[in-house]
Amino acid sequence: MKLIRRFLLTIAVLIMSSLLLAGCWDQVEIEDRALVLGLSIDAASPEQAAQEEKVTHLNEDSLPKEFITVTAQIAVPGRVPLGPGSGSSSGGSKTSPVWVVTVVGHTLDDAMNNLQQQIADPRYLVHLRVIIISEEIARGRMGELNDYLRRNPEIRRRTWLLVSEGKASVFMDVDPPLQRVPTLYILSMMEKAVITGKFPRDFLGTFWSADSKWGQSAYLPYVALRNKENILINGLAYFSGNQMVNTTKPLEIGAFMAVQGIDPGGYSTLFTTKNMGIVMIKTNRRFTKVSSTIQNGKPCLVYELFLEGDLEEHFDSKQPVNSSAALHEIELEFNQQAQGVVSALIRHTQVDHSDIFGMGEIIRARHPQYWKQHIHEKKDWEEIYGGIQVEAKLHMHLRRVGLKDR
Amino acid sequence: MNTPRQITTLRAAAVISSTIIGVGILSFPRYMAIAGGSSAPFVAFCGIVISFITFWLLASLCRRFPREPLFVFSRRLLGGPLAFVFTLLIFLIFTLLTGLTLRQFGDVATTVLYKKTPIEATIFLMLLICQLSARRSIIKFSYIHFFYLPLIIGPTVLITLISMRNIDLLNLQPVLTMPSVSFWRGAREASYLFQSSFVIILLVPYMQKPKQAVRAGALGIAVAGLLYLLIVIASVGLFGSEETKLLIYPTLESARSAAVGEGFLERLDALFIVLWVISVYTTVYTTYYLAAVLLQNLCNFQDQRSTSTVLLPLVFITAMLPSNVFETYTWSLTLGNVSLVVLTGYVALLWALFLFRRFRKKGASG
Amino acid sequence: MQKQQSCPPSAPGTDSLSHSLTGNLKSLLNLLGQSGDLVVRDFLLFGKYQASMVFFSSMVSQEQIQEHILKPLMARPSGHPGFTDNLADMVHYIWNTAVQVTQGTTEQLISFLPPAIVKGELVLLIEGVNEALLLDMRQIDMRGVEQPQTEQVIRGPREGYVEKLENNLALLRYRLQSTDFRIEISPLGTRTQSRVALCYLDSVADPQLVAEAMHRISIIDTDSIIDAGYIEQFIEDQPLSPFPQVQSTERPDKTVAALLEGRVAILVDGSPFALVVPALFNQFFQTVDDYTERFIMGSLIRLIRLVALSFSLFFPAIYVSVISFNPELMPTDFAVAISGGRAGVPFPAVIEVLIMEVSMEVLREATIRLPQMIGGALSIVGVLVIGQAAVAAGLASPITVVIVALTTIGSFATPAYNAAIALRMLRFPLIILAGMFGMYGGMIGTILIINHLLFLESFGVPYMSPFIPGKWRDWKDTLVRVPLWWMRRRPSFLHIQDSSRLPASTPGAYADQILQQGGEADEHSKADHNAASGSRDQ
Repeated sequence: MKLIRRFLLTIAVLIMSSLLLAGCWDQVEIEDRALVLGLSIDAASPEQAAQEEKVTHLNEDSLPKEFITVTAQIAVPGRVPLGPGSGSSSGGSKTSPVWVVTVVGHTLDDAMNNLQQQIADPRYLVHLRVIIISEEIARGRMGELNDYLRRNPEIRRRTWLLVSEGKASVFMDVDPPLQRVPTLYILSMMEKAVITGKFPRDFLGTFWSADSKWGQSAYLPYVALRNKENILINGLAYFSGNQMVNTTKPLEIGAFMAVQGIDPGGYSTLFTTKNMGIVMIKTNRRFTKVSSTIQNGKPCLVYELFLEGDLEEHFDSKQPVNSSAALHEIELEFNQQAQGVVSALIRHTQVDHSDIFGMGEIIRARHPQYWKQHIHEKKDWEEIYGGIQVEAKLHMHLRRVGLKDR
Repeated sequence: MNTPRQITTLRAAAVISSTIIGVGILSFPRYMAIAGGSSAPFVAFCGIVISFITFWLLASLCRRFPREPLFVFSRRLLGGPLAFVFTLLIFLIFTLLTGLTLRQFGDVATTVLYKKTPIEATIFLMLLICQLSARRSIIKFSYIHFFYLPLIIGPTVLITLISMRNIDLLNLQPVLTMPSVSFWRGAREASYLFQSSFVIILLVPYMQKPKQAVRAGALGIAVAGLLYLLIVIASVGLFGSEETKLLIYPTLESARSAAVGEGFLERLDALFIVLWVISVYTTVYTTYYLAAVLLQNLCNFQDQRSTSTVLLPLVFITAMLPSNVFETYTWSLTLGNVSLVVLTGYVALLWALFLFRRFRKKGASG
Repeated sequence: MQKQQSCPPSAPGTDSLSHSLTGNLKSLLNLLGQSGDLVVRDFLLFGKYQASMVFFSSMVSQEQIQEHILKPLMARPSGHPGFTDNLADMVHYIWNTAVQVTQGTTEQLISFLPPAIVKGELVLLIEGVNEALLLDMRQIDMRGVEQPQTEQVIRGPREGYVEKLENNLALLRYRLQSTDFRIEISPLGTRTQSRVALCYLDSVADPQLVAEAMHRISIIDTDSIIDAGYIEQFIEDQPLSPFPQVQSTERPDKTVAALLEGRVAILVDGSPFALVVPALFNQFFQTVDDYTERFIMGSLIRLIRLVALSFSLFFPAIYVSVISFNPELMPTDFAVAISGGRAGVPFPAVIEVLIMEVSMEVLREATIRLPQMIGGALSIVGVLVIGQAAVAAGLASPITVVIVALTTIGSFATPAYNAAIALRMLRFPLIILAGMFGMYGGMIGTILIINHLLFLESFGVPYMSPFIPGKWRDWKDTLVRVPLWWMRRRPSFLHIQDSSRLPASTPGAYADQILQQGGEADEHSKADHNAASGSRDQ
């Protein structure tokens, strides 16, 4: 009896205390959250800078003089219909499912605070999927950006960070018809580019890892806007130290992926052969072998690229492609020409001291003695990288020619 | 139907494993990366070996007294007062350990998951379930560990295997490194995580085959060690050692960036939270139980029920003491150092006395 | 039928019967008191002696009395060869030669008579004889054996228990024709005197378990036992636990299977349910179909049931914590869409889910109590109309309705009703915890539940056996069900005396057969084996 009474008493105390003490501290209903889906960051013009609010500071004197404008895409609850859409249920009047807000601040966090001051619902970055920064920011202010993004537990390493040609904020305004939510369109575009072999898997996390490694330099996707609506993957924006130094051409993404041996291959190469006319070759699979040596106190790398591809186009020629010999001829031509592209890319990056291939990591892993002796910080390697000898050998192997004989 | 010796070797191993796998999994790869760079797994491996050696010392001693818990035979070997002092010391160590583990747990929860929930509430809730379950017998204690261990290992292995697909082997090379000062410090820090394998002293008197105490511990440490090794390999392999050094919770990050397919099964956080709460619970439960039993021995009580209640506010206050994240880490490192010295010293002392006595007995009879 | 013991009532009377019929009758009627169905039939025994029969007309078969008692007793002595005209031997003579009744006793103490009459016996008193003859003429009309209502099976016996103990025991004996099968009957309840039968297999069940069960039943001291459920509440280990520690079943075949595993069954006169102890967690998601169907299908369906069980427990809590605490756990497009679905709902997700879950419980309870015809209609009306209307009125979001529906359906898929209730009720604290602490609260709640399950015992057997603690070989019949020919041993956690079910060579023989046929024939051979072993009971 005493036991039962004690039990009842305990229960009562527990219930009472849970009623009195407990609160739903972190409970914020999903529709009461301002879910930021995408961010774009630009350097602010002087007029814009003047609009800056005093939310996180009063005195401007000791703070950096540069300003950034941040444009955020916030999901509006209720605009995206639940479930598979029933065609154009929303009718002709297109109400955008996102709300685009622009704020100015000294730093990203400052700008985010200004943003919060302007909107009612607490902002959450948990669903932030795409961040677009303008080239100007990428060339100068990556340090503070990375610091905020790394510290914030809401940011995921699988977020895409893109560098835009020109202003980044215009990307927040595009409203492509393929997806309900604009940012998700950019996201799915990048994801599909990875699947189809158009771009390496280069999330924010990958960028950070490369950025931290001493023997590798980071790179980011370089995108551009065409016709106001279309987003083009325009190449790689590569970094040296903590700053963007240059960009590549789109085809050079293919060359880069070939050097890295990233599957699947997605790029096609159009070129003129000596006696087979003009051909287009699509790369399907890539495989790379690297050998490294230290020669005369200098690292020396040999890349052997094995490619597998199909013939996609062939015209302007009387000679039919109907034998192994013919294919072989095309392969040789391809190897020669593509090697030019690859070598040119490597040369470019060497000039810019940006080791996006991670050659330094190979040296570090395979020649730790050399590494310990010469490299004491990231800068050392980037310096050495400019002068090392790199050789690329291509071996294209064509398998199929499509449905057309000859 | 109910014999006191019910704990099988496998279950004892499970207790040790699930005790060891705890709040440390989150930051462990960082310590290892700082100590060994790309050869972090090697550092971790050395740490496991060190901890196994200390465990072997303890377990093989307990094995020689299969019927008595450590406190009882230590009283015989050392004499009452000295044994009391050591028991008190060990009690303090485990009380502090419980508090600091809880604090680390609370810090992670507040940073990553629940920013507004007061850390007191998070910690108190965890403490409460530990206290409630600490009232049970040692047999039930072993049931709990045996049940939860698969729930800890399963998700961890799953998550690590998923992130394994994206690891870059270059990040893990060179595998071996010349042992340096920082290397040994890292290995020692790794062995701190294994200190709660001290729980074997509770299990031995209840084991079906007390002779297999060492084997159980070896199995337990091997399983837990393998898991830690996997985690280190996954984190360092995924991020590279330099990046791992920058991350405060590398394992969490690797779980959050793991994905099956391209966005098909992306949100493994939920799985990780489940795993992490359970693993912290089992760890804190063990240290709490140990502390309660030690206190019971100090006070000469019948069982640990009342002491487990007394312990609750004590541990809670300990958990609230550190003023910031860094203090928590320095404190727990210091505690690790202290307990390494005290536990190993205590066991070594007991061994010496034990051997001395046996020698003398032989001398007397022969 | 077993010979029924004439059991002495609690207050032993000292007054023995006298030689006077009227005196005896008077004191007997005095003890019995007034009752409308009490019949006292005076007649001339063998045309010579004054005699009286006393019985309750509601408890006996009057036709049988007429045919087998009155007819021979009222016959002239000439019809009885070897008739001794001796009053002292009269009772023995009647018992041995005259009446054609299977069970009966003689009694000399008057205080023993009323309890016997109440049980449905007939008392024969004769002038000049200080002994009464008690004849068992009990007959109570019962409903026939029907299909069990609470435990439907697709494939398997269709018989269920009825209220009468004898019938139920017959159903058991009929399935378990073994001399090992023991039944111990004792009355319980000072007023109801309900007969309680304890059944077990002598050579299998753990003697300690049988003794423990018997002990727990014997210490019950109450005035009434109306149903098996009353006994359950007196003998269970932990009354405060939400989980049932005693299994109750309406199916004789299930009881027999349990007996064969070494468990003990308890039946009560007047209740169509048998109690099976010890009951473990594992048993509550097993059905007869698992064994009668082929093992692959049986295992898969059992796994599905487990999924349903976890649905009914965890789904709402997970939903609440994801919606109001950790929206990052959802894919982005889904999160955006869900926030749209919830946009008009005025309550936080916890309250919304609680309201919906409670109304679902109300609906369920209402449907059970209603007659079947209306019940079906109501449940359709309830689900369709209320759900639709709640969404339209902005009380709940469509996803919540889906979650609540899944939870309810999931709880219906748990075969044991009392276990299903336990899980259904436990989801409410989980929802509340999840509403307070999100995922973490849910985890804490789950840990509490699991710990409770691990601490629980049923008749000395840990509740979570054979998972914890257990031997690997006992796992053959837990999450999945391996072929019958592979389950060579009875579960060891019941401490059975005789562990082997099959000869040691059987599993090997069947396995060989599968391997030899190989290739495409593989599936067929398995099917054959199952069909062959399906006829064996469990």
